[in-house]
Amino acid sequence: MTQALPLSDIRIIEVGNALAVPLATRFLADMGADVIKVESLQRPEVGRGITHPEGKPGSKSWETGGFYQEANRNKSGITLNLNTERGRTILSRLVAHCDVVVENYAPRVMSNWGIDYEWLRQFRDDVIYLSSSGFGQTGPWREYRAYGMTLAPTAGLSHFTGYADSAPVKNVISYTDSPAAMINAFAIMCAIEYRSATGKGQRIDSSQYEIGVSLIAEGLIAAQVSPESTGRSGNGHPLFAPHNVYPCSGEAGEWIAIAVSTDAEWRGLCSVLGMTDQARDPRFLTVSTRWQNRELLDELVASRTVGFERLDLQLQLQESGVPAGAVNDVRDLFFDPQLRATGFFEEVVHPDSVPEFGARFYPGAMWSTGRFGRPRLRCPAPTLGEHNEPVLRDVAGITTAEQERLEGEAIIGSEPTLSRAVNERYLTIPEMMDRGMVIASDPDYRSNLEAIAAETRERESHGL
Amino acid sequence: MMEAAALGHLRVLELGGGTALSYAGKLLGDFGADVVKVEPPGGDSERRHWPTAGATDEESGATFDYFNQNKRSCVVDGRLDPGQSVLLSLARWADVLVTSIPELEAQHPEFVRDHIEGPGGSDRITVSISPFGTAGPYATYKASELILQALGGLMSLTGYNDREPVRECFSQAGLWGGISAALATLVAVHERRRSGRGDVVNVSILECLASGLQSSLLYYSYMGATRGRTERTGGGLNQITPTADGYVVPMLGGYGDWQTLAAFFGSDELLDERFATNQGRLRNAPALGKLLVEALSERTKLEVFHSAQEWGMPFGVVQTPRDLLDCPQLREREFWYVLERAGAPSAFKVPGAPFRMSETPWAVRRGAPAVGQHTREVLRDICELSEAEVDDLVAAGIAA
Repeated sequence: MTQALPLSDIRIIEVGNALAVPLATRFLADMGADVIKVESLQRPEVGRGITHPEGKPGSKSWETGGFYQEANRNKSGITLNLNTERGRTILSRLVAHCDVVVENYAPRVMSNWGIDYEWLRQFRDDVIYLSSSGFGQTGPWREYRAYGMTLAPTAGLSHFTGYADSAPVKNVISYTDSPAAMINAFAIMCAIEYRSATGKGQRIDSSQYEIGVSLIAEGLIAAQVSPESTGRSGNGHPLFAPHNVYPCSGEAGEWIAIAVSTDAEWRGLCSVLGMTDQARDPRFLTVSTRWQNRELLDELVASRTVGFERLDLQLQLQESGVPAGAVNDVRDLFFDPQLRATGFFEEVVHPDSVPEFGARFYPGAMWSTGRFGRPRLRCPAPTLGEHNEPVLRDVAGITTAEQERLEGEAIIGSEPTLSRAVNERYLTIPEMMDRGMVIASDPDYRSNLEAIAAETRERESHGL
Repeated sequence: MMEAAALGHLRVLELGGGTALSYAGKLLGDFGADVVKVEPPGGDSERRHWPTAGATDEESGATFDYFNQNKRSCVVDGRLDPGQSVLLSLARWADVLVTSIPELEAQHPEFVRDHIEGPGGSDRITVSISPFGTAGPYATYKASELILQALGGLMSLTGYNDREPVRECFSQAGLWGGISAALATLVAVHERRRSGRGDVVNVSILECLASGLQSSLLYYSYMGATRGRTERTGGGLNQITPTADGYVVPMLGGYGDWQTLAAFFGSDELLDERFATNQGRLRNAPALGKLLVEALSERTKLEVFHSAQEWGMPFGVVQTPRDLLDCPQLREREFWYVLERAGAPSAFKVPGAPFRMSETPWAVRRGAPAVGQHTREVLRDICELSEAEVDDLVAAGIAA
């Protein structure tokens, strides 16, 4: 199949950092958009300093951050010091040849540079300009600082997440960043659709706080009915039981989630777990009595599940019509039978210029289609300034001689003038284990993963 | 005058059920698409979802109304032949069929075979949302929000290391799936404008979740490590930490100036050299956490949050629904709107625009429909049936 990918006629300039914007444009880049990522030597991407191969930043620490790799593949990368007039002039020449400009700096940063929608329109009248920030471009909190890690609590998600008898809990990931990235990509596509229909561009103000709050609409409605409710109910359901995670055999920390909502599912559960007496017990006969006796049920089910291996139990329960699924940790996901079968994870052979990488595995494109399959990864995330030469020459029309002058003035380049303190940040794997950031370590992970790569190659050799 | 809508030219047929599908339809409808929601006789089972939120036998719950504003409702029984013809003519009308697989199979099995698995029209776009995808060993597995969060990895990263993993609140898996499906819809529509060809888009919620775990997956593929949940420490830097009346999350900025934080708390102990570097703070997290908990014990959460922000530090605060409904930022930006129920304003304030478009703003053009509120209109105007033909379908129980 040589057909052009769905978004191959769209060019996006991304002045982004971390996730809410870089991951948004990566979703679009995976579908073929030509995304030019703009960093600076003075301020490289923060994701470059997070999660390194073998836990070690290596000699060029700014090139080994996995957080950056995952969110920036399939893009070109240039450097441009937007603190200089010259840098902004070059940006304007790129803007003239792009469809979309996306940024997620704090609102004051772009306005200090004099970059706003009206400025961009001088160079491209129908430009689409999306600004993503913590709290939005207006309002009393517009200059407040935020990360996905602090927005999950601030947007109300943490109030509703956690154990019924305990403090609120927040996910270890920067929770709101991921759905915000999906929403931001959708917002860009909405504006592209409108422009296709009318020829008009527009600007988009995206507040990650507001995106976060819209993820708890159900809880906000419920709270307006029963303001006294505490908000957290662990893994419980307001109507059904058993509805929880239960321990399985094997290493500690193996769990299975079971969600029973009907009598038939309850009978299926009893038959797989060998609970013949309980299947007839009047305390568990109906949806409402099961819910009333949910604590008792949780103990009972847990006492049985510990005798089963989690994937084996998942299969038996599903074959008996019971909704059940193993709790996959990040290691398990790579070996999950479904994700293996759909070829979700993809092996990328990185160029030799960053020897720490070699071949590594990443999540693939977020969806697949009948005509395009799952669009494969075309290139790893760019090294700092990797595409300065071709992009500045072909898109902005800047000669090689001029580019050399720009390098001399540190307006472009490929080595950071300010290396973020990545070496200071990192912990060794044993230290991460001490802190509970890591709960297991597999020294054979590369050969274990290689088995998956072999499987994918085998499938592809059969044209599947 | 009604303002322009980004997707005002787009016709969407929503067929199936579940949060992911409803949210995909809502996102498209809220930005202007003409969304016709096909419901089975008796209505979408989600109408009675969250009964505490006002559902009765006659009236749907407020949560349903939130997820289904800006849609028209048409009740068709696709199990019988005339109903299938109606669905086919609706599918021909639509630019995009957005559907959910387990529900569609239960409601309209023939339609799945003929329309989704079959060759289909060359310019037809079908976006099918399913928990696990349409092929592979889990394709027929039963799912729920809890099951998806478990299999999708999200749950393994939430909670305490010494307790069971715990779900992220409400329907996060469903919402991620819905956003992805809405995004995938527009990507396919864009491509069709160029090629003139349709496509079948396969959105697996499991894959959406695995796409959003950030660098957690790379803990394994970069270093063989399994990322854990959090330690139960009772508070500290970057952790949910108690105050006199709630919780905050103390945090340093990207270039974290530790002296500023120590000054903010007025604590000389924080200037101890153990805490001088990021690595040192991680290594001495328990001692540091204890100091922060002490320093915050007599302050209120919102005061700490605002003061820290004035000092330029990106603290978070655990806000309750009341805090959010009173939040000056959300008020000034007119984020909330009053949910319309049965044609009238209700007592519920619900989230409004997830992002602001300058030319084509998010808007509620109509409240959620009653079951089959637009059946006649849709059959007449879209399927081009006469009043008598519509009467016959209603009498036969095919439409309602």
